[in-house]
Amino acid sequence: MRLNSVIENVLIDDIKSLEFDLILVSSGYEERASFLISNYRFNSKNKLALSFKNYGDIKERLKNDGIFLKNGYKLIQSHGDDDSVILSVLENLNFRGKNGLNILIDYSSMTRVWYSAILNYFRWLEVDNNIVIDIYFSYSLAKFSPPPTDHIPNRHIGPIKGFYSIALPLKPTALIIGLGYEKIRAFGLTEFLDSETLVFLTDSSQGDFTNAVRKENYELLKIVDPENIFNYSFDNIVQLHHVLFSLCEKLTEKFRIIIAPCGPKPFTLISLLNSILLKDIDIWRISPGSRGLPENRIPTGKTVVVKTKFLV
Amino acid sequence: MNEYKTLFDSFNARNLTLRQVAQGFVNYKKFDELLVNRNSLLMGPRGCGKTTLLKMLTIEALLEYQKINNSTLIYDLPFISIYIPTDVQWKMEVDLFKKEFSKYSEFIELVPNVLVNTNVFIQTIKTFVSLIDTIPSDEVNSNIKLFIDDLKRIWHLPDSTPSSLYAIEQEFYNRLDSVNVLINKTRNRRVEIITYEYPDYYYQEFLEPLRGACKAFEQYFGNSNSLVIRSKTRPIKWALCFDELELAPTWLQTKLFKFFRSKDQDFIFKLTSIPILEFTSKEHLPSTGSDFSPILLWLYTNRHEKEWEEFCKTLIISKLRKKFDQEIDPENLLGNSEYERFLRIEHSLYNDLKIGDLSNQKSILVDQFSQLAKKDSSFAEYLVGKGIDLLKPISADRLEDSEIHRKIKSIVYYRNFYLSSNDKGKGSRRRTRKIKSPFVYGWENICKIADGNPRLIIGIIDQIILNVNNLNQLPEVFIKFQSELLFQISKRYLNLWSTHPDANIDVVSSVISLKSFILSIGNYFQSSILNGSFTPSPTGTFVVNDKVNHKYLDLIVLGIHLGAFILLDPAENISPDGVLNKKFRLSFVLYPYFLLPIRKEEKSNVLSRIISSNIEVINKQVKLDL
Amino acid sequence: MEELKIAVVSDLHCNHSRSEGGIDTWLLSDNMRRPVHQHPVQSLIDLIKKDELKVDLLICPGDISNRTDPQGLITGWSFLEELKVSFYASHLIATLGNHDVDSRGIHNKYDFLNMPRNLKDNFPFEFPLERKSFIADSFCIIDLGEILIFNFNSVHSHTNKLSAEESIISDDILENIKNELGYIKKEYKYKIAITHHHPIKHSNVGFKYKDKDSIEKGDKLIDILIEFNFQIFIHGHKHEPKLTIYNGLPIFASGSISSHMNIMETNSKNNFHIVELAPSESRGIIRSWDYTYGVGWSPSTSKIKSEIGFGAKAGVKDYSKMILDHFIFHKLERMNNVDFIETFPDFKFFPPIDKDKLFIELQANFEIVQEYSSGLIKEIIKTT
Repeated sequence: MRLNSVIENVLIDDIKSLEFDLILVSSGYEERASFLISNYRFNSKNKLALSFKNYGDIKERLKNDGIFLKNGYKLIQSHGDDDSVILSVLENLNFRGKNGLNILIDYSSMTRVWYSAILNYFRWLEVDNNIVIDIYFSYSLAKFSPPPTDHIPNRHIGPIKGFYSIALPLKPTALIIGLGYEKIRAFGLTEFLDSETLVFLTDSSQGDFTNAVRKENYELLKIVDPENIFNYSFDNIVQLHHVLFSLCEKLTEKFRIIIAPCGPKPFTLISLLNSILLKDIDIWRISPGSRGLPENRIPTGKTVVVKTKFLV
Repeated sequence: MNEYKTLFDSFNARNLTLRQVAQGFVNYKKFDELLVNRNSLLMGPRGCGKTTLLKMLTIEALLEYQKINNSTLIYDLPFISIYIPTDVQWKMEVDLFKKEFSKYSEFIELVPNVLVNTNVFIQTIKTFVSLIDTIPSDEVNSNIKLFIDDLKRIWHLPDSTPSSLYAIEQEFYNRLDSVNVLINKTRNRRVEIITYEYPDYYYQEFLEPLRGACKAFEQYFGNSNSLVIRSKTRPIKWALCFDELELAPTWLQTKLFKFFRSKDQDFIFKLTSIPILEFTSKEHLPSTGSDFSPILLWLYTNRHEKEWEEFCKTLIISKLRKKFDQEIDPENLLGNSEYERFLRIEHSLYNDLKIGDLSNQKSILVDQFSQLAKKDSSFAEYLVGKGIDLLKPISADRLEDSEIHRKIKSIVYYRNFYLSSNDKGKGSRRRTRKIKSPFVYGWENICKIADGNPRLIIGIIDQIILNVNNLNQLPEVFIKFQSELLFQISKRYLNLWSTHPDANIDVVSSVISLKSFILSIGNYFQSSILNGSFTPSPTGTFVVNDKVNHKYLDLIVLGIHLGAFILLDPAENISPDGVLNKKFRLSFVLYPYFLLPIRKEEKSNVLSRIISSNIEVINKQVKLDL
Repeated sequence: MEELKIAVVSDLHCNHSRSEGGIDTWLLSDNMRRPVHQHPVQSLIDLIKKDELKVDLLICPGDISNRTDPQGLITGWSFLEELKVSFYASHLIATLGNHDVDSRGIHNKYDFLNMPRNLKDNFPFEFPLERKSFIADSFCIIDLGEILIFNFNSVHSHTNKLSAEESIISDDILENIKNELGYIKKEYKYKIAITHHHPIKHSNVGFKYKDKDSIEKGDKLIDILIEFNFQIFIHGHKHEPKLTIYNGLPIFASGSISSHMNIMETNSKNNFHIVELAPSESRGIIRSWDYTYGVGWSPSTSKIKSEIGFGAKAGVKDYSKMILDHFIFHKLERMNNVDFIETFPDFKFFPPIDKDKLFIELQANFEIVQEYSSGLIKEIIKTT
């Protein structure tokens, strides 16, 4: 199927009355994982919660499980790095005789492997009938938590499965980094790739977080050309999409593009969408070798939803 | 103005067009070695100018160079070059592809092959285009269709491809797209790759089709009225210039070395790589000299240092001319180094001195010796051992004549500079860098610190030019600025190298970074020359012995690649042993950071001993203060 | 003969970041000028300097403000004044768009023209008498020496929310226009018409938007303009740039310089243009640049190509035959773009739709190799 380049900001009130063919959420160690479901009711006969196999015994995780069960969600266990469970869920969807499908994904606490698998599935899906699949991606914002104090160097750098293509080394590399708490060793990375570097970070609407990210990445922001620093807001994910899309479209004339989404998940989602929409956009991960203990994230009460459309 | 940007992004040939490379090109002695009609392997660390030199061989660059410098090089060159780039992004993409589909052995063998071929063929078309631009258009038009028909046949391109070189190039991009589609379809199980019937071009190897294409070019355009083409001998020699061999997959390295060994009448190869290439297959190992000439782009002999100094001079003059619109000698602008000043003062003073008349006007050198002996008991003891008692009056000529003088003069000067005077015989204390007056500055030092790295010298000079508002500023201020700048650069390079994604390795239970590794070596050298007892021949180089944990070897290779470690005995550049048993020094750019005198030390120690004496440094988590 | 150069900067939709309309433009009244390329106007000023772009006239076909934001109108207009200076333009002529008038009565319930009337003496252009008739009669005719500008206020009837849904032009007004134009005895080298709304239906708009806001009886207006030998009709409103030839009159939808509304949906980008108009005939070239937030302005590679023309004299079939004859006569096999443009100078004046037809005609005898991104001809090769 083909992803429509136009995506829309959607209010939760606008989707409450929809009948969903699938609602897929995740149950993990973050309190915000169940925020959407415990505060809004959605109509669906097919409600599933992917439950982190790897964090089975954490208090918040068990609490989330309980909330999902109470709200009629079926729990399915999956490891955070494994996309096979999510794929088998999607393969059970019935497309026959339908001209439209509505799917709601709460990716607030999902791993990138999970929600990228969803996008990849529909991108390569072949259906016989003329069907439009609307996927609503919902993200519940979390309260500010300061960056971790111990810094593990970024060891794993490279493209991610399903979101890279092999292009010849005929054009230089432009590296677009979505900043988060991972301290980016900009010198090394830019040297390593000989790249032109651009960075995205949240704007003043996420004051504490933005400031903390700025502080963490002070060195990087010092060396990046100020013309290459972009701000975005969770209030308007569509605008972020618009900026990233037109930027990538333009840059591909002169560069091969790598997007390294380190920041919050909405940036990652938009990066993945753009990698599908445009040619020669790699998504790379930059991450430390091993992570510390999972951290609880408390919801702020705000949820942002974007609607994407897959067409035949 | 972004200070860091000018320092680190100043000049990277990879991202410059061929024309731009030619516009900024300053000729380099080493370049001449590349111009000969035989296989070459251009070796050197990052930033030493390999890509620049290779790109300078292309028709497009040479035409531009000819325009600017009135050079006839484009006609003198005995071959026509095809420049073939590679890069890390490409390598990483291919690596992931191979990992992802590792169970399909044919697939992961054929796809990289098509990719390499496509890369080579596209670059060949670009070369043809720039050659054809030199031919009068009526001659082009009468043959181009036949030529392109041949290309289509040789390269297995669809018949429907319009007979235009541009269209042919586009067709190769389509081919690349189809490779990516196949990868995606395989990933998503839309194609059963095991039974998939690959198009014929998947099985092509690049050299024979390339030969066909080049022969076709010669057949149709060899006699055309273009001086560039006419100046070449027949059959035309084509130089395939593969950049950054270390990034190439092993099968391609093997293939290229095989080509090195076979004398081909149509092709020669010009390859670039880092200073040491580990190549395990002994049977395919090309031999230095007879199969190829190595061209080493780093400073391991005095001759290279001289050439480097000349290069720096030309480069800086041209930069200064742009800024100040006048001819300025860099030595005049930057001044001499502290030690050089000392030597000169000493020399002129000495000439004026009357022998034996030291009561009022001591020789500077004598002064240095006696000052150090006063505060450094180990030096005093050393002198006593040599039969010199500096506490008693001594004539300058006696010292001058003494055989040890020449050998230790600079160490004495350096130690005297850095050791504080309040030593009471309990071993000297080092003064902190901050309170010191500037030591590392001046033309000689700047040249040395850049250590054969054009990108670095350009970076330093840009910084200096940026801060020189007029040519008549106070020398003390300028010296201080230079000294501070060089220290900052030194520190930043140490950190910069250590932020490389591969600069951290797991050894036992801890993560070792390139920085802590360099620190342990630098500290060892520092204690040998400064902090420890005086020795006339301190340790300043290391040999990688087999007692070194093999995991460190990757860090050493990375350090060589980045230019942190300078190979000193480059006899076997391609060898199955890699870095083992080879001798290195630290790059001079690190010397200001470690307060090491910028001079070559002969004495070396084995790396395992250096590491073990500094194990606490190596295991310490380092902060990367950029 | 000297061509008239007209810069067209339309649909700025400028507002304050905290205005009620929210953010649907790159051009905010409270944005700093740096980063330069995140500011469409500053970035354009940079381009003008760098490429030494100069024009005779700067035209803005309306929607300077976004959703009647007073700050947007104030700042938007000062941006245009700044551009006029940068372009060395002799005149800045704007018209009103639906976002510039208060049809919803947000700021003044009784006077929808309150804002434009009181903004500044030089708004939307500097001539007091013509401004008066622009407001009172819904149109005006501006004499700029060799240039005549017909400026129609297509929002004159947007007095309230309901009436703002369509743009009408009454028979009376049409009659007045005809009469006024008929009185003019002077000969002009250049005759240009501008409005905000499109005079004919704009097809191919995005899936979400229906075209119901073209000017009622716009075709009749065009007939009058053709009768009086107008050479080009420039309008805004639709954010998708497009050149249409209607009964021989080029109608140029100039897109938007900075709004994001309807840009992704129509697969367009933000544009500005320079029209080069030949004297006394409907013939010229439109050069377009597109804007990428963060990268700046560059020759357009989006929906509207960087260079399109209008006013080719020959028909598609005749021209195609002429090209073929030339190749046969001179025994040519191929031609590169430079030679082609030089040999067939009229080629560039074929409007996009005719160019497409011409390509189809040519493909019977030629292979046409086009540049991948721009679509420009690289080579044309005769097939045997």
